[in-house]
Amino acid sequence: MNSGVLLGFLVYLAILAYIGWWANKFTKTEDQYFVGGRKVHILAASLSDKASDFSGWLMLGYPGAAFKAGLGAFWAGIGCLFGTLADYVLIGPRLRIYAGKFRAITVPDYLEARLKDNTKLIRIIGAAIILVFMTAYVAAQFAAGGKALSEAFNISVNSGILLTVVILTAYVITGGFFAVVWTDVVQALFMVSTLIIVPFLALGKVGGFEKATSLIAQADPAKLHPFGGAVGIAAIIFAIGYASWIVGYLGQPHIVTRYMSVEDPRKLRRPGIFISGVWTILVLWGAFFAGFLGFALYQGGVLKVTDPEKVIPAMALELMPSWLAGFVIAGIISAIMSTADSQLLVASSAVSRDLYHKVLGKELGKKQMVNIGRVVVLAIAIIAMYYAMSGSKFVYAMVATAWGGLAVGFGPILTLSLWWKRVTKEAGIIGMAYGLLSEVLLEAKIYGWAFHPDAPGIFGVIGSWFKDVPVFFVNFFVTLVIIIIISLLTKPPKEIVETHEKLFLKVPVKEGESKVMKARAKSQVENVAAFVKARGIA
Amino acid sequence: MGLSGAAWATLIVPTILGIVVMVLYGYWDRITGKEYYVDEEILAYDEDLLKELEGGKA
Repeated sequence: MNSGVLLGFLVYLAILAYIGWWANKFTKTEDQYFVGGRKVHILAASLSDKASDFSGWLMLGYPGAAFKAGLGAFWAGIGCLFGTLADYVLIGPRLRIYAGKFRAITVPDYLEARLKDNTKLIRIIGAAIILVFMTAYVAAQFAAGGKALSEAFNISVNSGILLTVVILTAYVITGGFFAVVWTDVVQALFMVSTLIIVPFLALGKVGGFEKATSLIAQADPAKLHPFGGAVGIAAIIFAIGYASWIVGYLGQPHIVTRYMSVEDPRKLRRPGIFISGVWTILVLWGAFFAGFLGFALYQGGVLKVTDPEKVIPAMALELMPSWLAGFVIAGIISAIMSTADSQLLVASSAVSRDLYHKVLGKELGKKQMVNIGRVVVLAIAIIAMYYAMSGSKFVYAMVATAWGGLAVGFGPILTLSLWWKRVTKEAGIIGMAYGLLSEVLLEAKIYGWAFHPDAPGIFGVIGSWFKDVPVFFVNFFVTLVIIIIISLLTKPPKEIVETHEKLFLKVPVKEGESKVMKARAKSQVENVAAFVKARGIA
Repeated sequence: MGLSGAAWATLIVPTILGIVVMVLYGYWDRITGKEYYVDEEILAYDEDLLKELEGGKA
């Protein structure tokens, strides 16, 4: 085992342990344990938003795609950037305002209150969507963490999975949401540092950008083409295939919960969108060029790569001193853990808050409710660990469907409920149920990720119309239309329409504040004098 | 050899568009002079947490 790599990794672990211990002070109620008491610093909420969003895909999958496909893979980055921005513009501030108004802790909490659903169906369907997809997601992250640790420290994959579960579960149980967001901040910094350093080192090693592109062109000129060599309609479908991630962002509970936790909704506008946006641009450019230039190094015979997805670890071990390579390995583990911890907490909230507390109506003391949350975190972690170690086919099918399932299950109803006063609970129930069932059926059973004409019967005909377009991208808009039509056929209660209208009335900026400031700036005597003069007393 | 103009455009144009969206949205309250109304009821901080923070234990 390389002692430099181990040292870098141990420093990273020590930081996580300290944060878990520190955050334990702020885990006394459900509000604190699941949304940080709605008083999370904007820097932590914004960086945690992005660290939770980008899993091992950022450090392994995306550079691997750039390695294999070249420039065309950048469209995935474009999708992620605009998905990030769409979350702030369409979801963030309005969801935080509603979350405060309704004291909502989870996404189903918000939806039930917003749509005034007394049947509890929205909460049950919401919790089901979260549980099915998030548990599978967590299992996939554990498996990825196990593989990364196995590569770095030459241990078995199952030992790596166990180590990932122990580290992650320890700080989630101890410190709850505060531990998750502040460890995410550290992890986000590890990730961005890694993705700035690695491409520059690669550029120096390969002998400049001109040399790199020459080497890539010699191997495959299509890798330098914006659409991977495709033209016309094929180029548009190629771009949509990658950039379709945008709509997926609107429905990911582990991401949007960050907005519900932030200290002030107005801070999501400024500086929130700038922190997230700039970080996203840096990591997406960095990860793309790491893979792109990694291929040039590979072609130049400088780098040995057995698996394109391991191009960053390979570059770290080849180009860096061992202690710095340790930090890069920590960066990769960070990407995996920062997503897994958020998903684990959200999955736990679906059971302890949505099902146990709200659906079954069990309410114990504040501390007991937090402890139930902790027990559920442990239980879900053990289930996910079992799936990760056993390599269950069902879980792989759910992981492949998870992004789309959450996007279609929550995205349309969340977006419409925040922007359209007419949306009704009937539309919410049918839209969410359709989202859950259709994604499992269409993605896990019939098509897989994208439409194709080889599906049976009518599905083959539909598959030929939308050939190569991701299923969830089309299904998102189908669900949106279903919710709109049912909302128009039904009627929302008068009071929720009024609440929606009042809540988002905008007020002049500064005017109110500056009047107060001016009044406070005057001395008491000046205020009394002004009052006397105004009343004509003297 | 380098990248073609179209290739550079693929990298740079969406990034610049993203920055423009960021700046426009980030300063939309200044541009329009209006912002969402926010009060204590909307902020809705957890009371136990506030007590913990006021107690200087954080």
